[in-house]
Amino acid sequence: MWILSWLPDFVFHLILIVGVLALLAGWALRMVPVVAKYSLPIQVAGVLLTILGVWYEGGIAKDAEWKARVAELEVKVAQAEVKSAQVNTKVVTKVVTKTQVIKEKGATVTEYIDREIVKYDAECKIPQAAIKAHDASALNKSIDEIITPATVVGSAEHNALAVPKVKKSWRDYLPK
Amino acid sequence: MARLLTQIIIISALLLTGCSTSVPVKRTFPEAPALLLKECNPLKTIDKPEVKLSELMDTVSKNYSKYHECAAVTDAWQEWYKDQQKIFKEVK
Repeated sequence: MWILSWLPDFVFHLILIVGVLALLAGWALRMVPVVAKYSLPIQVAGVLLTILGVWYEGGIAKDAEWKARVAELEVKVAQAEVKSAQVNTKVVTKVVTKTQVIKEKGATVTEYIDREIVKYDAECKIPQAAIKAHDASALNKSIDEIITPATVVGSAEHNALAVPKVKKSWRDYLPK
Repeated sequence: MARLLTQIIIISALLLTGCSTSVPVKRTFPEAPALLLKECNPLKTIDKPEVKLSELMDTVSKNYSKYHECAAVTDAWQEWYKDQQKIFKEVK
């Protein structure tokens, strides 16, 4: 239907009118003996033009229908974009508010710790194992993976890898 | 005459293939807010051989806060997706 955007609609109306007229003329010319021989080609041309004209008339009607549908959808899409932006704002506001509340509540707990828990610092000794368990949980690692200041790391493997390899000459690969 | 009719039928069939059914309206799923795209902060560790009870409690408390902040973002993600999907599906 690309041709519809090239040519104005009246061209297709004209094609249909000419086609119908040619059909009628072809039928009428049969009755005139002198020009009766032209009736068949005129009728054939009339049929072709009528088919073409009817088809393009349908195309024009369908094109108008689609254009209306596109316009309707464009309005709906624009409305959806506005709604979508509103959702974004609502969600962001909610997260910011929630985060603020979480921080405020956390601050009250910190204050409580500084005021009340410090009293028990002297009498409650935290063992290394507790620190190790805490850090492993915080890092989502297994207990074996956690390195604490008391952990002894074996260096033999590292040192063995650090020793440079002796370079060989191509002569060493020759058969002796 | 029969040949001519065959040609007419073929041309008509060719003309009918030009009918289009797709609506040329471009739609894209909305972009998520940048706040939701941030990664969760890593949890705090103690990183020293000796720690006081208050320090341990402080670290634990801060880590819980971090969890709650991250959970708030995750909840927001779910809400955002549900709402956006509903809006997206409404346009037909």
